[in-house]
Amino acid sequence: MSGFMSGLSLYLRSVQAAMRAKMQYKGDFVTGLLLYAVLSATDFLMIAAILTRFPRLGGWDVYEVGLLYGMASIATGLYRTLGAELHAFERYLVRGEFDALLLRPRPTLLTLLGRNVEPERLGNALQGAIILSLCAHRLMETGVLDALEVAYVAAASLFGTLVPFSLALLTAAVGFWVVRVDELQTFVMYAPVSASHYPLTIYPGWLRALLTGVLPVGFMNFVPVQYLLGKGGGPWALWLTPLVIAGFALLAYGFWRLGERHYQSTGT
Amino acid sequence: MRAATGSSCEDDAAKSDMNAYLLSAVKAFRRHLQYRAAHMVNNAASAIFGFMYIAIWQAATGGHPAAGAYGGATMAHWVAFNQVMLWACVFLTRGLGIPEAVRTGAIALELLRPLDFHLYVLSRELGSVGYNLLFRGLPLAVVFGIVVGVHTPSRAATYLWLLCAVALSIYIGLCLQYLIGISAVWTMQIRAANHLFFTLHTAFSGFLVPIDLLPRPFDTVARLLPFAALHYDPARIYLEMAGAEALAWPALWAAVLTLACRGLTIAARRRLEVQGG
Repeated sequence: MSGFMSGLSLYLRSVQAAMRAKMQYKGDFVTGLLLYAVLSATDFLMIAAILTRFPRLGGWDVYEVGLLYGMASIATGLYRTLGAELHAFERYLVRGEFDALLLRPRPTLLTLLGRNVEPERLGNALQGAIILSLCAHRLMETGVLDALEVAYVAAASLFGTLVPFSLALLTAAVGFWVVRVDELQTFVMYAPVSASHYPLTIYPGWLRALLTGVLPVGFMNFVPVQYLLGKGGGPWALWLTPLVIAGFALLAYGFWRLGERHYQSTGT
Repeated sequence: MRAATGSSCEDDAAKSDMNAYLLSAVKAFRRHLQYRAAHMVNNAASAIFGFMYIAIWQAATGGHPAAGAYGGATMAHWVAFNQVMLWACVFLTRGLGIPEAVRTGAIALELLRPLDFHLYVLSRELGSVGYNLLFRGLPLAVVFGIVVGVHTPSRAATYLWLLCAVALSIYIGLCLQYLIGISAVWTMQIRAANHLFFTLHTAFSGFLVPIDLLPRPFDTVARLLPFAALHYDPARIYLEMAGAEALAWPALWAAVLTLACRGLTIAARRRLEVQGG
């Protein structure tokens, strides 16, 4: 445990250093931030385009779907900022760079994550936060949500970043056996996260089961929001959500450790 | 490029040129064959994206009068067609492999070859497109065919127009990707250009939202840009919502993009010569 704690403090210092390094180029950072914000907002533009033409999507209006979209964007934006190296993990396996991490007397995952951050990816989280605020504001005005519920949504957005994180960790860990995982990432990460922008009730049963039970992106936003908007579920959704996410993260980390023990260098 | 050395030699040279282009395509095709298993995983992801989009459209249009020509069943075919088309005209090698050549310096040698660089890069990528259509597009088409059925155009002429539209779509996709790739000669990295391309594609190609359903003024913008030629126009022809007239704008864009590609290739060559590459 003390090894983990010292690993954690080292990680925090590495992140600070990496952030400082990136901030040396303030112009690049601000440009990147705005670029990511504007470019990723296109996804919401598409949702809005559909919902301008057709008022509802499976009974959800544009503000309600916007809540789902905003939460997912904040969670994935934070993940892409802090999990940059995990996201690009295939490179470590293909080039044998993972060996260098094993030499450090710290948990490999923290060493890996501390090597790089991409603060400009916060642009994605930023546009998500803006859309979330606008939609939450509207839903408060119409009396659908109260302040406490909005606070829950905000907290869940931040905590929800563990979901894409754990999905990435699982994908990376599979790499310890099969090396090439970039294609798998599309299946495990991109498709489920995109699906989570919409209410899961519109999907066929098997897809809904996949998105809540196996690759649980549903807990990143849909499960608690569905209850908060009075569209189904029960109060259990609110406390079950963090439990499932935490459990999934532990499972993913356990799988990572298992894979690590199995790791054999490509020797390049 | 090549010194003229009598007409029979010229013929032989032209023939071996043809072989060189064809060979580069075959090589690219073979290279992909090695990763068939990994690609099947990606096919599953593509299929899930497709089912997701179909579900979204069914939920949105479900008996709604605003659907107009775009009903739930039509949109299912629209989505299926475009999920397959993605592998023909959008999911290509990043920058057609040019940035890689710029990074390693191999670009200098590639430009030295007695081949037309633009044509060489395009034919090499056509090998990948062929592979993609066979090992990604076809399995996807079968899956979608089983789930939502296959739409078969009723008019014979439609098949001809569709063939032209798909060819134009692939050519325009290749040229756009070529422009991204050749920009590496100046910028060294194409991440931003690539990201911009995918964003514009998402918004303006009509692969998910048919562009005439976009709110103003986005629909007009989308009509003017080349991205509609990738998905919107071929899909309209396939579903017989449009005829041969839908080929005019894509054909114009194909001509414009050809000029742009040729122009930038000349400029790139000059820049490399100045650099001494």
